[in-house]
Amino acid sequence: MASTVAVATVAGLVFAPQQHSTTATLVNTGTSTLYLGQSAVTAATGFPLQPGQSINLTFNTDIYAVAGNDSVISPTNALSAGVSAAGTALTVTANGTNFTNGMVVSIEDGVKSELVTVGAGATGTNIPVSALVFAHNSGTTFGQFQRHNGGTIQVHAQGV
Amino acid sequence: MLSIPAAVSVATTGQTRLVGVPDGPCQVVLQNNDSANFVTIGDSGVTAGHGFVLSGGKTLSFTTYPGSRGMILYAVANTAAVDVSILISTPQ
Repeated sequence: MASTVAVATVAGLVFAPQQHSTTATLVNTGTSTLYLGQSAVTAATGFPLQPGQSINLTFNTDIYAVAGNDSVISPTNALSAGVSAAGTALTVTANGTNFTNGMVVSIEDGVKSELVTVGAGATGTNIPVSALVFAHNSGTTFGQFQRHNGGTIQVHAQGV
Repeated sequence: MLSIPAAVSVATTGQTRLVGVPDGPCQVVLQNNDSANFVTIGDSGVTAGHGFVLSGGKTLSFTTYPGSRGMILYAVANTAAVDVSILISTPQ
């Protein structure tokens, strides 16, 4: 019997054995890594199941899964000059072209952290972005923002 | 029950204690989380040239028989430290 279970950023039950010993094959049918474990599983403590990967488990108790957290991933960079609130460009010393049109960027600046969207025409030293809400000092770091939308696990259960 | 110890960082030197396999029956799953580097798994004398090679990104699963004695597995990485995730499943 196969079933597909949605996995969110809060741990949820994906498989409950129907007998004392039950084998289950779990397949990550989503596009991001999910983490297996017990009811309190987190991305830090779970067993990673990569997209497309399957795992065959025996002697099962209830198995829970959770999606990873939102994160800042490559490319990253840092402001080489301060920028004012309502500014529409980020100035860097190099590698500005790594930030492409439409990419969502997280500016890591404490309580003034914010998300902006990259516009077209980035150069090595200038990255056009949607209007900033806050001002940021030179040296402030930023990087591509990856929102973890969860995923799905397909469960094939076999009683033994 | 399901047990998921913290992932182990396997060093390139010496032998890193990977997992204590309990008395059987149990199922152990080992996953190399580094897609670019392999680890070699074996007993306390494992070396890169003598052991079971777990390639980058791959998973090894094995099940022990009822009554089999527990054991400790060790590992060594080839060119860079490698994180290995572990899952142990035993009857309730």
